[in-house]
Amino acid sequence: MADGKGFTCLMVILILGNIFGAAAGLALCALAIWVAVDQFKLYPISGVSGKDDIFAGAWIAIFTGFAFFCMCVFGILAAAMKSRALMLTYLILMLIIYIFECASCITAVTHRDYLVGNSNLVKKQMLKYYAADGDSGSQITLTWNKVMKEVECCGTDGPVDWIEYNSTFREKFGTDYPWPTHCCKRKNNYEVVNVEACKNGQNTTMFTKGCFNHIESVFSRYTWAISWYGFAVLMFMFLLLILAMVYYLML
Amino acid sequence: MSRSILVIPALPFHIMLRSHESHLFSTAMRTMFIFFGMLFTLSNAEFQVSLLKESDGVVTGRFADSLLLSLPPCALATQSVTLEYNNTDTNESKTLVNIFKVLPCRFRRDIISTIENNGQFTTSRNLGYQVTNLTTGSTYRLQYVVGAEKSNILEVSTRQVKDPNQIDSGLPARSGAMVVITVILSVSMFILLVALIVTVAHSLGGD
Repeated sequence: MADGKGFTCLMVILILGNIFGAAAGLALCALAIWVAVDQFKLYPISGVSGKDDIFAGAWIAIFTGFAFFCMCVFGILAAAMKSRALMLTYLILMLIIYIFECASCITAVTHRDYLVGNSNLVKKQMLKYYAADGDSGSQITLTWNKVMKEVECCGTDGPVDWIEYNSTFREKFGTDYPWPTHCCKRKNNYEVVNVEACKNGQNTTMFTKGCFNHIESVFSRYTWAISWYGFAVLMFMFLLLILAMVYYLML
Repeated sequence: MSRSILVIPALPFHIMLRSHESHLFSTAMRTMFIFFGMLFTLSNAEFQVSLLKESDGVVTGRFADSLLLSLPPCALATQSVTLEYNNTDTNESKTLVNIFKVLPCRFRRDIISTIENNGQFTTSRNLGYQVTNLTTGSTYRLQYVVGAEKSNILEVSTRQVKDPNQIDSGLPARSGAMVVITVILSVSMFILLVALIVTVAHSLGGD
């Protein structure tokens, strides 16, 4: 047992590191709660496609973030009490939590690539499910109506998507309305400014930008919160765990 | 061709199509008119017709079953317009006689009074003419005939509607972020596992 200055120094570093780690873990938990709450209400786009692991990663991160917090508090205790058994418990449990958090980061970023790597998946889903019957159809329709209204956009890359491809919307409603009326500008009382002009595609009466930029930025924001911040926490925990192992060996 | 063009920018203002406009356009054709104040002196019998583009203020001029054509120049005002078109695939010809009258040129002063009502319809912007009931994905040759003057023959095709199931929605590419995160985290997991095993083995062996 080396009870010298180096040992005490290492103990102090470990305790400080665990305090910081507890704060970081708690912040991870809070950030993951923000992602899980999904303020932009875009979950159906990922849910219907089956690629919803951005949110699964968020749920895992809620638990691992809180677990990191608890374990780091335990780690302060274990380091201060200079107990071998406690330090070993700390190391093993931290490793398990570490592996779960790695899984969360990796799966969140991979599914983000699937979903918004390019606009194809979102476009295909929009054409297939907008105005379709069934649970998926109604979810997608409501989500797209909300996005088109709030972000003031139409279609995935633009209104041309609706006329370039066949779609459930077109099969249901025919070609009289080339795109949904949610693409049209509305007055404050929600009345369409000019339906005929919107049908003809006059860009003063309808939204001409595509919605994909917004959708991509929202999913990217969620993913960077889970995966990059999780990555940062994990890198810090990696160093902390290496130091904890050295400390354990010195005990 | 020598033309003197006086371009007056169009002010955007609301379109109001009253219901009694249907008298003039009682066929299935829908029309919309938008005005730019322009003065031409034509020295050619042929005037230009083209598809409307984004710069004309529409999303696109080509739909799956209709086309948006530009209007004949306002120098031919008050003459009635006939459109002849021909489907080059099936070689069917169609002539739409007297579809509308070329509207007169107007100056900016008049446009400030936003609505013009001539008893038949109330419009204030005129962009072009919409030819409807066309077949998807076919090529058409279109030509206006106004009195003695004809336009050039415009050859254009309607949009071919594609099947959305053809869109490849597989994984487009792995982003750099994904590769970095996966590689670094996997390596760190491995290192930690090995280090823990070594630590435990060393402490057990040391005892």
